[in-house]
Amino acid sequence: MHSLDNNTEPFDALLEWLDPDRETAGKRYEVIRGGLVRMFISNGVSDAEHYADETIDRVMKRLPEIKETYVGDPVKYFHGVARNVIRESRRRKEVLIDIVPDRLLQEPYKSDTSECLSKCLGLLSRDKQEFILDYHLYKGHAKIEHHRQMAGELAITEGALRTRAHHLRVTLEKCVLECVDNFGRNKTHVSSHT
Amino acid sequence: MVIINSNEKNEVKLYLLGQLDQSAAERFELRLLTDAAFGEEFDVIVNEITDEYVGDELHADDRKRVQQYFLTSTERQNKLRFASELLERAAIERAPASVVQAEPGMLERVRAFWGNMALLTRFATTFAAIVIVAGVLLLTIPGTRTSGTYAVVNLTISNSERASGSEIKQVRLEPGSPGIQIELALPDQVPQSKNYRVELLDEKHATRNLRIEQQTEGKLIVVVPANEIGPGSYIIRLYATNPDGAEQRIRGSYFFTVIL
Repeated sequence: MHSLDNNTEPFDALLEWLDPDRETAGKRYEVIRGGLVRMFISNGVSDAEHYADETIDRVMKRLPEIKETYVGDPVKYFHGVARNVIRESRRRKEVLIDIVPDRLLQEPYKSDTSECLSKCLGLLSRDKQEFILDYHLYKGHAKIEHHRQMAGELAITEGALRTRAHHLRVTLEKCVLECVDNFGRNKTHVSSHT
Repeated sequence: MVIINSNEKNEVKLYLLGQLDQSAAERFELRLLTDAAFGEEFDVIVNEITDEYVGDELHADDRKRVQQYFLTSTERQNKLRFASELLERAAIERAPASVVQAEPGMLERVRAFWGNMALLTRFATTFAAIVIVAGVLLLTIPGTRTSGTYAVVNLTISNSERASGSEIKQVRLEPGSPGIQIELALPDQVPQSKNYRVELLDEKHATRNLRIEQQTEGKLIVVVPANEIGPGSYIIRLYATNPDGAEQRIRGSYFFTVIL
């Protein structure tokens, strides 16, 4: 991932192109990168972080040529390059894998997720553990009613409740995915020594 | 985080399920690249769709689109696994026991009947009961003692990975009962397997296998001794064993709660 403290000339030029104010440019850069990741994932491109960086690299390389002549919001240029990257990625996938996602829920390493969830929940305070589990307790209309009740009990709006739950879930999910990833690495490490 | 209106929310869903035309998708993606708050709202809707998929809440068409479009990247598949575990954990740890007015047990009924009797009648009844019990004991084979009866619960599989309140059955473990007999109805579409493994998960996520006492075409019966189970919520997962020894988990879970 490109970092904002990257002082290489092309990266500085990119930030300059996004906005003359470096702080504003940095914020725009982060939003663009986040949007690219969402865009790639939504278009079925795995390893979205890699392709977001690939897109930014391509823009940086082309920048000296286009900077003086390009008219319009730089974001549109990023978008065009990202679309090309998606097309290329799809061409590389000669055979689309027929995924049956229900199977994903039955795989053996689901137990790794379970163990990691226990571990990551354990890192949260008791209140937060209960909150995140309570928030995800029901489905359908019961869920809507339950969230209304939770918001009332916490004396916050339903929107604030939703935001709170989302931020907590993002933290928890990140922790679990990193933990599962480490599990996988450790297993590979162990099996390579047996 | 901005709260988007229902039209915008609908547009996000259409985009996520691959149903926006090219120009609309382009406009949408440009917003993703420029509006941080919208990006966060987008993530919330991604999670909602994932949860609805796990909870089997989507219409068949949408479910198919989720499988064919929404879940094609590795990132979304990882998200699906996480959501499945999170929702299941919520069901185990936070689901209130279903509020079913329990019918009075045998003990309560006898107590109520007894309380309504006159004193003389109670003596007569007691005497008659002693005579009957003594008679029965004499007629039974010496050395064999009648044990208490198993609490029986019939469970059907829930296709979702979490249970809603109505799906959680309660079973009362009376004092003296030797345990719980659980009858698991096999789902219609299960692999042709002669062997199954039945896994019990408790609230602390400890797992153990249950011995299958009886197996018929559509049902498995397992027994959990009373000294191995206490009050709380439980989940049973079923695995079919293939002839090559590989296991395949049957989708869904059985949910029940034990009360004393």
